[in-house]
Amino acid sequence: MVQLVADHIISAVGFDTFETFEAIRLGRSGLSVHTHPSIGPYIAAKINRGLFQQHFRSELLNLQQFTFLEQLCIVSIQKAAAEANVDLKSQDTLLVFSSTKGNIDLLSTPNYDLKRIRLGSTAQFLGQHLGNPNQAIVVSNACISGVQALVYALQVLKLKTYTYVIVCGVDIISDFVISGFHSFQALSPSPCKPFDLHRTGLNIGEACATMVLSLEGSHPIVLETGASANDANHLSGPSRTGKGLTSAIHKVLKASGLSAADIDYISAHGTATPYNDEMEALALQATQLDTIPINSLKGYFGHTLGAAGVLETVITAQCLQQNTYLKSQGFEVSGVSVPIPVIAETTQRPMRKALKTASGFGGGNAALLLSKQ
Amino acid sequence: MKLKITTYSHISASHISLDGQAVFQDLARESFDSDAYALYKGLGIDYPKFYKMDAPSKLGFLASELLLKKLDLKASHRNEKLGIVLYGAAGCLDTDLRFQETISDATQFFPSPSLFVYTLPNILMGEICIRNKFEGENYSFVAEQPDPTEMERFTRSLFEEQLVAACLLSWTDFTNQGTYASLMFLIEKEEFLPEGNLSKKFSNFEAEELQKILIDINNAGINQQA
Repeated sequence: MVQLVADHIISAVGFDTFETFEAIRLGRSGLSVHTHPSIGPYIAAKINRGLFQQHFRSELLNLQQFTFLEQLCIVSIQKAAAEANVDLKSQDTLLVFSSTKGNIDLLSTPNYDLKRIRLGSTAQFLGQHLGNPNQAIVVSNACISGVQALVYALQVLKLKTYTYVIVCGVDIISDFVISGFHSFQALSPSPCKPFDLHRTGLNIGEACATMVLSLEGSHPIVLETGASANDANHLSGPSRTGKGLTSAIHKVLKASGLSAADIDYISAHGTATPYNDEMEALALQATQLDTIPINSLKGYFGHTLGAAGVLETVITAQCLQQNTYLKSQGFEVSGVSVPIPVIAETTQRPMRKALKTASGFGGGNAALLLSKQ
Repeated sequence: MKLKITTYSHISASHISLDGQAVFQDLARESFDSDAYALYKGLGIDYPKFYKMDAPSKLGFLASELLLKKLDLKASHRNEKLGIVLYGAAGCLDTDLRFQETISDATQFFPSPSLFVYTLPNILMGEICIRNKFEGENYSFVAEQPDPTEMERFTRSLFEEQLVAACLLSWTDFTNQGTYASLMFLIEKEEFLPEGNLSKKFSNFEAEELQKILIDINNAGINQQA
């Protein structure tokens, strides 16, 4: 079985997994107001650059020539690998990255190196610095990248070519991305409210999350199986029926031999756009998961794009370990046509099996099943 | 599990072929945009969404149209068993630069959603899925160079997990109007191939075969330029 050996998070509310989880368990959100030169004020969950430099000053001493995104990856991967006692320089270790835009913020700087913006190049650069001899894999499939990177890791570990696969999901806030989502009128002017009647759109976030996975050892959290499916309907809007997400979830349930009733908790995609949340609710109804406690973590972290699938899975793993059902930040009154039980207050109760879902531009949908042994 | 390359297409600045045979040799070869339009017309496609696509999406879309033209995948496969795996290096960088131009000057700030949606490497895959109703697994990877061993291995794993019965596998890379290439394979389980078609030899889906085709294509490109 593929197990979670160690993990690490750098987010708007914490500089490791423990700090991040404690913050959101106590109801703290990373969302705050920022200003874009042309758009004006917008809500986002930003990593405080100054605090980051301070907190990791010894690690960052020799990393000043790296971009902020690269620094996040190097620090997070090194921390997770150290905790897992994994040798990054070994050929038994594979790096898998998940990102939608990589170093895209460089486009706003003068004299940027175009090569630095190519994701494949960034991955090679990071792999070289970390001393890893293998060709790093980069999954870039919009907002389902993170979940797919984990499913990729599951698949490749079974071949036993590698002992450890380190999955690192990362995306940073940039004028580029803010402008883009603004052009879609997808940004909410206030903290996002997933599944809520008064939801008005998403907030962008940034984060770097790392998971070290292996078939070896005896660790409590297991990644069981995952699958994807495409809506084949529209590039930027989800299928109105949730067909693709329904298909992905069905495949996961079928592969695991579980029924909907066996799932204890769902960590939804829940971006708080009118269409996404409604689509998810319909897919949950179609797969008979509409009575399972559910939340969206985007009320704490914003939508972290390529990092989301990994970040939210690390949090889901913590929820499993600690039997904690986290309140869905921003939710007050249901605003989807299916009365799904969105978690209103953080509580403690046994949790054994959890499902992570994701959907994204290009029509992709993905689902991943985790369990506690 | 026996997997075959049912067919493959290749479009680049110097060379267009189907199953290794050159086609559309009379294209002007001036710029991608003009050749793409000529190819669109030459293939007899009627799909207005084409005009909204960015260059990488047009490239991948045309490679898929060339490859799928004579096939009826729906006759043998359910939509949810049709998969697609995409690899590329530059991704959507050309489109990123175009989008950046619309936002870099605060006095001329006009980001458009119809351009922004294309600033992701996987969107061309979305276009192919929509056109052909590919509702199965869909993966998009970025790498500086194609790695045939990895491409074969991963695609094969989707078949072995019973997730797909037919899968498009592509290396599609658009850098600029004069530098681009899309190599696209249709992989199917052997049992789906038409019987008694002795005139067509279906290659085994193996890393060595992918590597050989990549080399042949590189050579053809060099010869064309000479």
